Amino acid sequence: MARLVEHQAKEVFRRFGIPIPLGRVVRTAEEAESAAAVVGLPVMVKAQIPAGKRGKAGGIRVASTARELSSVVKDLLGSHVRGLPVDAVLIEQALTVEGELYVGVTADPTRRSPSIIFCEAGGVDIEETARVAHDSIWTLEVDILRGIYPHDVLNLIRGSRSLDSRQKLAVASLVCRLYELYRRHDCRLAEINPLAITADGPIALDARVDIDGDALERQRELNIDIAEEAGSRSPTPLEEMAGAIDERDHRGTVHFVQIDPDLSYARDKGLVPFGFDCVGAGASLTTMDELVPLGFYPVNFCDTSGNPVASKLYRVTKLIFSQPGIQGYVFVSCVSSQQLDNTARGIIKALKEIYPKTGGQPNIPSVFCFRGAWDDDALRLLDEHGISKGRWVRALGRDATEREAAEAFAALHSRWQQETGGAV
Amino acid sequence: MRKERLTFQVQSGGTVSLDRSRCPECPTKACVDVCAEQGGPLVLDEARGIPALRPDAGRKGGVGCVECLGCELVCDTRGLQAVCIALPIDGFDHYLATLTDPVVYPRER
Repeated sequence: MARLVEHQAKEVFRRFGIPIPLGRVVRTAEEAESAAAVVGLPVMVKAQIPAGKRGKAGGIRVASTARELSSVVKDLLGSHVRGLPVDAVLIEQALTVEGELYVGVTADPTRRSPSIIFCEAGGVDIEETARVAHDSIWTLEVDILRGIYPHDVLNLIRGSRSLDSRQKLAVASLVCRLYELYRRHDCRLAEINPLAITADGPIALDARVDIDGDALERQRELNIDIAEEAGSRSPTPLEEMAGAIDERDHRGTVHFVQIDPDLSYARDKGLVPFGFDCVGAGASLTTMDELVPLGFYPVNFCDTSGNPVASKLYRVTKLIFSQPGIQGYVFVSCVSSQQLDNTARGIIKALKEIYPKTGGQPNIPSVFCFRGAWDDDALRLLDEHGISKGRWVRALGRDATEREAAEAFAALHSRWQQETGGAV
Repeated sequence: MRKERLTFQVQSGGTVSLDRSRCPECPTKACVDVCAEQGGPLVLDEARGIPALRPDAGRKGGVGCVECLGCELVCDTRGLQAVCIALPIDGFDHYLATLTDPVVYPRER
């Protein structure tokens, strides 16, 4: 999934005729001053990060004077809101609103269809509202072959007591445009929270657009960096590079996410950071379950599946080893039809380039556990190329369990630490 | 004069290059065997004793390389190091250059 930040989502809204407040994105206090001259004080100053609940976290503030604006912008730029760095803010006109609603279009997996969601209480945590006041949330299932029409939405919101008939018509028309946007851009969620009711009609005060990760290739016009879903934060450079591996080549897949990009979690918990690659996400989880209690922490998740070509393994292995501070590497495959000799070739070529002086033998503890199709060939290749003879290498075959792989890594790491001091 | 270097592009973005001036002396021609096992495009030009592309390679766009990397690796161990596969990663060199903490692999122990 790729989540657009507010100003990007609002730009998409604008193209679909959904009214938004006048605003400008700025990256300096000077730019903010110019923006305020266009927008007119007072203004809202909104941190542009891909996360919700910004208001409660201090990421949305009002500035009524030029001095206040300068102070707020300087305060926000360069800060972190909800753990995310703020490198841009949206300067937007502060509007007088008569009421706030929630409207959204989302994919409903239980109905296997898009669903329109409407709630008269806008500007609030919709998940919490759904929990405590479920009846206040009205939904409409959409048949994608038929689409929706304003009268469908009017029927949904006919019981609204906060909207008069003119406002209901305006909201119905707006929801149809939001649905059109949702379909056109392969969204998982298109949401307006709050949708302000003003004297000039409904206006989207906030905007959320989440694009289906599998559709990013055909949403090039949105200019999104393609990367694996990594929660609410923006993708790291390594994740972007990994995302590009599958871009032109659909022979197997590579899923790479940095769980602990700066190693801060591992350090805080006193765990040893290591680079990680698995064939199969299930094998990845079970191997993590064995390694974490032994004092290790995978700084990345990586799953190479669907029988990827060796060149994909080559590229992702280079990325995994380029994470600073790792004190080891673990590769474990599940038993599958993946051609492990190709997997091994990709890893071997990467190691030979990374460690040219040792012929590919890593300088950190490394466990290779090949189990599955062509696993014997994979182990033979590691041997032929001298990798498995490395001092800090342990190669395991189809009889090894995840626990044995984890214990082998722990033993290797312990010896490596004793003999080298473990400093990397 | 015949070209001694055989070069072709691969689907994921990269280049396979064979310095075929070395190949007549190669006792194994193992790259061809590995490529055949994978259903790839390399065959042996019997007359010259060097690897060549299958005659039908390239008819459907691309030469049909499955990117197993076997030709380069086997040429390393059983041949005369005549194969070089370049698989660039956009932005990787810049990433390495801008790291404040060095990656672990330059350390030599």
